[in-house]
Amino acid sequence: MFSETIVIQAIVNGIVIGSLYLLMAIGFTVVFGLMRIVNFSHAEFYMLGAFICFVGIAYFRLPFILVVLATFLIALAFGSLVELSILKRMRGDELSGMIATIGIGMILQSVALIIFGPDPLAVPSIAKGIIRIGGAVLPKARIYAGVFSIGVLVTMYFFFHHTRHGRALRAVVQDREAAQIQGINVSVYYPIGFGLGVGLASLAGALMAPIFSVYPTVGFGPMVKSFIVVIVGGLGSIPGAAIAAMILGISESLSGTFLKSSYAEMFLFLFVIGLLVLRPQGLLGEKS
Amino acid sequence: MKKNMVIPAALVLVALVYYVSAGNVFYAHMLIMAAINTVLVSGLSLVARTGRLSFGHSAFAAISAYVCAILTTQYGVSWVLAALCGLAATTVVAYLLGSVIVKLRGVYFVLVTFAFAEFTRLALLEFPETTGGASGLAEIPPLGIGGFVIEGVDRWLVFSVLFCIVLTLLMSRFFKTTSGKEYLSVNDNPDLAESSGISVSSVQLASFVIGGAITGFGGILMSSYIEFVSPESFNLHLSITLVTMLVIGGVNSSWGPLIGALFLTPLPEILRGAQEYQHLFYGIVLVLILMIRPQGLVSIFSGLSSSVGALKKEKKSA
Amino acid sequence: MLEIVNISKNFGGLAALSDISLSVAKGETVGIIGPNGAGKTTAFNIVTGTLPPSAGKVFFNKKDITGLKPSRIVKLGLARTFQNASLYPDCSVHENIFRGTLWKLKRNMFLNLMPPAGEYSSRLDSAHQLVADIMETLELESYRDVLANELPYGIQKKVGVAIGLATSPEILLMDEPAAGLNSKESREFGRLINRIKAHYGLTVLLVEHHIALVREISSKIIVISQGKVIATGTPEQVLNDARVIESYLGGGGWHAEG
Repeated sequence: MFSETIVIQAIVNGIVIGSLYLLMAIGFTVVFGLMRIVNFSHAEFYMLGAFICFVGIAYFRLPFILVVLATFLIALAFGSLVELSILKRMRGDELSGMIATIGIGMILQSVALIIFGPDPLAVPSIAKGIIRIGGAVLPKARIYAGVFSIGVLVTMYFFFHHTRHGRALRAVVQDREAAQIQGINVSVYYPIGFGLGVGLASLAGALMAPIFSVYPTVGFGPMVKSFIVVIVGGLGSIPGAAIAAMILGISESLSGTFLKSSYAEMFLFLFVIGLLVLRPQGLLGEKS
Repeated sequence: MKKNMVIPAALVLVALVYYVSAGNVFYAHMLIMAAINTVLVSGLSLVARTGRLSFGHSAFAAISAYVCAILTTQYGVSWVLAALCGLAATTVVAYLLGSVIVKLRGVYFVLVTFAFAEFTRLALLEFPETTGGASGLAEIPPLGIGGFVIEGVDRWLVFSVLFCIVLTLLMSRFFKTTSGKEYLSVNDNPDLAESSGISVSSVQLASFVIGGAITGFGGILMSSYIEFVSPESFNLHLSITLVTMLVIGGVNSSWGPLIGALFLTPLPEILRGAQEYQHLFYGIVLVLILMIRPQGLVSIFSGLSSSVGALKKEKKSA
Repeated sequence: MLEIVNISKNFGGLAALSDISLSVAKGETVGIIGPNGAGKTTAFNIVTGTLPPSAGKVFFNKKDITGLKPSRIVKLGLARTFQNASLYPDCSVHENIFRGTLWKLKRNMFLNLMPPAGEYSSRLDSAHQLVADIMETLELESYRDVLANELPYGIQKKVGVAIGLATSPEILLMDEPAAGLNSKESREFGRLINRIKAHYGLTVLLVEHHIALVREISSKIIVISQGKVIATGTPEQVLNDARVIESYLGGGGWHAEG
């Protein structure tokens, strides 16, 4: 039972899942670092991405890459719009902003329920067949998801480290006050930052859609997981989140394969609480 | 002074609603739920007014409700004793958790309490022999003090409405006292409060424990009224709803919980028709209120219940 | 009255304070000056309990207060003001000052729900009297009902001092009281400090950049540079000390005259 192939499969799956958690976590961190609000609608943007992917492939029969790209752009635009129309007046009032995201999430979820109904929908297969690595068997669809998400992560890395706006945004996310002192006009980045943050969540949703089914509450679990990734990795630290996401993804995958314990989730939360108490800055985070 | 308008206005409002609902079981039920929600949110409000927002209060409601329910259903303990035990359990848990997270502020506090709520729900699911697991506990004996039983919509209506008004008045009074002002000082400027001899951590811990107990009692009320509990009765959805009620009603007012609960409890139900549309409307209303009246509905009564001698302005801005 | 003994403070690898010792006797006005980044504010925060020292002790009236919570230290009689006049923004001046007396009015929360009576009632009255007295001494009566965030900056600073006074301290620690004030205002502030010192029998310790203010009101000046005490003495002695002058010219700012 502990054969090498199964372990490799579990690890690869774990990396795929982990990279998707990381996408969501980065999105969440960007929004939080920029606007200091906990974005409770993150789950619904994930769902938005999943549904856009579903519609794109099931109804318009577009290629996967195109759909994924379109999802990101749509979410980016939509998120910026949401920020400009709704959240703008609450800039500075983080409490109201946070509750507003709860409302926004509710609206999105209801709309999805009205249009698509509550039942899970399956995205038509984007890639038939499997790939063999060693003796391990991995569905192509999953590999595509993993490869694309790593691609996005690499792009994000370049954006945040080698472009002017990306660097500015990163500076703001890591230490708002310091960035302001350096002359960065923080409020200019709000719409784009929010759009980018939720865009990443939608991207994760679109990438995961072919692997799992699509339904209006699909985003809640990944959102909670991304909260955990962000906490453990450290608010404001993307490398920390990366490490945490991989650990979470792989351990989830391994325990799903080998253990049937539901205590695992309980201990996960206990661990998170303990970590926050003992080391609130997480693995690599900045003290806020 | 303007603040004196709030009390009679609220009482008139409640009386009106009572009149409307007294003849109609459905509306009466709504009012009872709103009253119970007021109790739940009041506990949350106590913590919020020391500057920290807890997303874990559903867990406190759950602990009290379950302890009370388990004792009455499985051990035949009287309601009063069971309720006291439930409150004691919640107080202990709130104290332990509170002491441990006393240093956390802002988003860390939100996330930890969020995790705690989820943890509690999972824990309740995991021990079905005691807690009934996912199916919960049913046929919970109703609220009984001595021989007097509160059962049925009529009695619950009177009891719950009276209780929540008394609680609200007590809280309003509290925030005008020196202890209450310490709470407000901690919220308004914790560094200054600390430097004025007010121990911020003691105040925040006290508010967390007492607030947890109040919400715990709300949980007991809920389980005694509905006569059923399950882990889903007290999940994150409830925590989020409570926070929403608090903010919509008005975070910085003692009347906030009541107004928030009164407004938001019936809202999904009043909208007949498919549930998705209810949630859609709920979300839209929520966003609109935040855009138009961020300091909460209570400001419509044009005087936040003031704990200060002078007229207090809206919640601090950016 | 106040003794700082061999205090050191390290931040990461940086030694902000190295083994400094100083003392303040009852009734003195002591000014701490030094170039930017010398460690004055760090020392200040260690005394008030905001920051724990890496080594060393702080004694107040012979009692070891090292590492105690700020609120605990305030209850022992040591109050502080903030550089940026930190106030309760949505409260009136009167309420702001009154909140400084809260720690003395402590009693059981449930008892508090009942109307004040007896001994508590008289405590409440003396608190109100104290607030009225402070407002009179600081000439704040005309601002009594104005909200804190609507006050001019100079008045905000006075209210900050008032709140500190309301805690009934023996010693008042002031963090850059002249910050943001022009030379006329800071001279007035200096007179204010002398006035409250006399009226309330206070000892005063201030950290300041504004040399003129310090020279005017201090009986003793201590100079800290690069984490060490480099001079102690009367204003004339210290300000003519070559080492002091050099440390300023070499390092940070010097406001000889505002």
